[in-house]
Amino acid sequence: MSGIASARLSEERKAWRKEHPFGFIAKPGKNPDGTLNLFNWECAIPGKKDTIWEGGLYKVRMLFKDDFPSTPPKCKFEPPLFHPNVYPSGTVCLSLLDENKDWKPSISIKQLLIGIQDLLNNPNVEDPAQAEAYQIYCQNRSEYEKRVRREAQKFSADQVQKTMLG
Amino acid sequence: MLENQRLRSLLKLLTWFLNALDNKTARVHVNRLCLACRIPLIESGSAGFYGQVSVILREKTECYECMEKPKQKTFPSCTIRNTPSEHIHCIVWSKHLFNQLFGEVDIDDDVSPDLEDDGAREDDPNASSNNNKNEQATENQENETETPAEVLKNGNGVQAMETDQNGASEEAKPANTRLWAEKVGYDPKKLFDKLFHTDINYLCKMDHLWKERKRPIAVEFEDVVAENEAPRSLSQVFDDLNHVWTRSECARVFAAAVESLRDRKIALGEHEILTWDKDDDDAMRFVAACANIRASLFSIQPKTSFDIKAMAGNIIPAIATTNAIVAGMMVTEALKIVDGDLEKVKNVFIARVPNMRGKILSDEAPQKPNPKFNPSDMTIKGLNDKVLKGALNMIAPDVMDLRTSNVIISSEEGETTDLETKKLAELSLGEGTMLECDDFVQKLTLKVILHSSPDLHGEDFEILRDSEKKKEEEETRKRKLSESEPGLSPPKKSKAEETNGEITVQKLKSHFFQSYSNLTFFLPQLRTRVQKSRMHRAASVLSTGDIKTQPALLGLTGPASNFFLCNVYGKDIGHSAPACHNFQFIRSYRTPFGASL
Repeated sequence: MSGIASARLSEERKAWRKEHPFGFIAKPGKNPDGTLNLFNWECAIPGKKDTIWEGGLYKVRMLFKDDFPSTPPKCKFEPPLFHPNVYPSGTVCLSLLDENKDWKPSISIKQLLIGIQDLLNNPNVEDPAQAEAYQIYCQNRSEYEKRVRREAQKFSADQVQKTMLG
Repeated sequence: MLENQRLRSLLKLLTWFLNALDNKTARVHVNRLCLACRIPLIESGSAGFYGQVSVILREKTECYECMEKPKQKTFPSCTIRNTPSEHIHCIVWSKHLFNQLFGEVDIDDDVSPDLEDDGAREDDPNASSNNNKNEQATENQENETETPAEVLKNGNGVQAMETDQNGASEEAKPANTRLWAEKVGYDPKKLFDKLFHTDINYLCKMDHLWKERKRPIAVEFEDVVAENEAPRSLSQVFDDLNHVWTRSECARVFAAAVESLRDRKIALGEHEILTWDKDDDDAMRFVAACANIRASLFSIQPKTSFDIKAMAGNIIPAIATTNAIVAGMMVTEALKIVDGDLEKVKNVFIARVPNMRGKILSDEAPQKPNPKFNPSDMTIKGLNDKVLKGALNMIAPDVMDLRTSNVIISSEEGETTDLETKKLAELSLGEGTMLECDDFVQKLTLKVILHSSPDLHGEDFEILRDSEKKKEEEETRKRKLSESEPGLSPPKKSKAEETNGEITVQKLKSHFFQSYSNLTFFLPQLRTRVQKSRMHRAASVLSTGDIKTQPALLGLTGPASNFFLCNVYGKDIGHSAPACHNFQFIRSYRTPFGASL
């Protein structure tokens, strides 16, 4: 295992535990033997206030590779989210998360999560990742908003929080 | 030799190692080195007519530390103080007396009658409570139904009044033996009468002791000296090592020895003390005379000065023939190793008398490594509570296994609770595992390397420091924790866990090494080697967790002050008896988050 990656990740974890934005969750996931896996984080992003995403808490898994922070983590909504920039597998398509675009090793997990939160209400039509949400977003905005509100209801913050924090 | 780290690389060139050492420490060390380097070790020893040779092959035969060794013989203090039955008891008592009078006073080595010897012994109560009891006992002086201890304390009070006319200490407390002796100016006659008359008389009053034993007979100095009909000169007596001195000679030797020891002690100055040494004539005569006088009071056969010297000095005679036989047997075993006949190696014992088949040599196949000395009893909770929070003063440790980057202890509530009862071995933490322990609430990061020790059990552990800081080492080294709380003992394992491997079922002996050698600060900009003294200061600052003052205290300013990394490498003693675990500390400290990336 890479010492740099694990050192950075444990610092990230520490920094997060000291301070993190309200409503967000980020913590290392568990291995089958009960130990914590620093390379596999379970996170959750709340929908921004005064947006159609409000009220929802969306689960994201962050998968880090050994060469982190040279490469960005893979961020994946679990279950996949109805959003133009989220692949059907749940993977987030965001320039910040692209090694060849805006990723920088200095970007923290906090910044990533906030970036993804921002993406929710500001989809990038230049870079669609799923047909369904993209088409509805482009063709029928009110239908899109209805679908998003349904998502927000489905993943209501209270429930998701309960399942994640036990 | 124990310090030489290069020995290991040297060892790797060897085919075998033949041990002919004379002490346990060196044997243990070589044993560990050979195990670590997989060198066959032929261990040997002789004591008088007895001798033995054993072959130690890693993972094949039991190693030196697997073998049970008799402990240094000690005697119960009541036997020494109250009821000696062998001459050695009197010798031990005399050596204790020497220390009480001239040497380092050890509270456990009291020589005066143990007045609480009523079968259920407890530690001495403090002086004031003792006084109270004395008063109570005095009121019940004639009451035979009182417990013996109470009555005897009364006796103690009487003794104090009788012997202590100068108003010195009221009790014959251990710490006061010296005071009392100093008060009477180490007067040999007064000392003699206290030791062999007053004290013995009080022993005699302890009726329960003498129900099945012969009562000792108290004597006074004048009477003893007068016993001799044809006195020899003292120098004649001194030179006569091979005949038993008469009691009167002993008394005169005693007086002479006390006087010269007193003069020497006074010459040394206020706080200096004498140490007992078998080759110190005065000290040796003192012990020999005392032991024989005491022996005579308890009807024990006295011994010659020579014999007493051998017993008191733990001298084991060497017999050339035995040594030659041992050497021969070692070569025999070594040849088997060269020939690759590892299955044929034998442990050989040399007996004093021929056995039933008329042989003095007997052999046996070596035992398998002793599984008692394998991992692992230490639980995650034990590591957290006792080692990290207990011995190392961490407050909220987060522990990561550096091989897998898995977090095994989290300071976040509930995150690793279900791991707590697991043993280290169950999480495959064992020999050589490096753990990074980071304190959430203070800027302190420790790197811990796990190894093992055969002489620690359960959740015991040791933190060893570097040899360069011997004093500190002694202070912290033997900080053993015993498994006291029953709640901490690991619960019975489920079947599923047992299948994880044999290690899980076995015991862990853990050693923790903490070391302060090879201190180097790596400063990214400066790459300077910071002076050791600064480092020590840093270490102590860090251990208090006060990070803010650190760079300044270190004398570091400027850009370098916000980041330093210090590695402290523990001395690798190279012990790796199969699956034994030493815990070795490598300390490293890091300041602000991000700077290290």
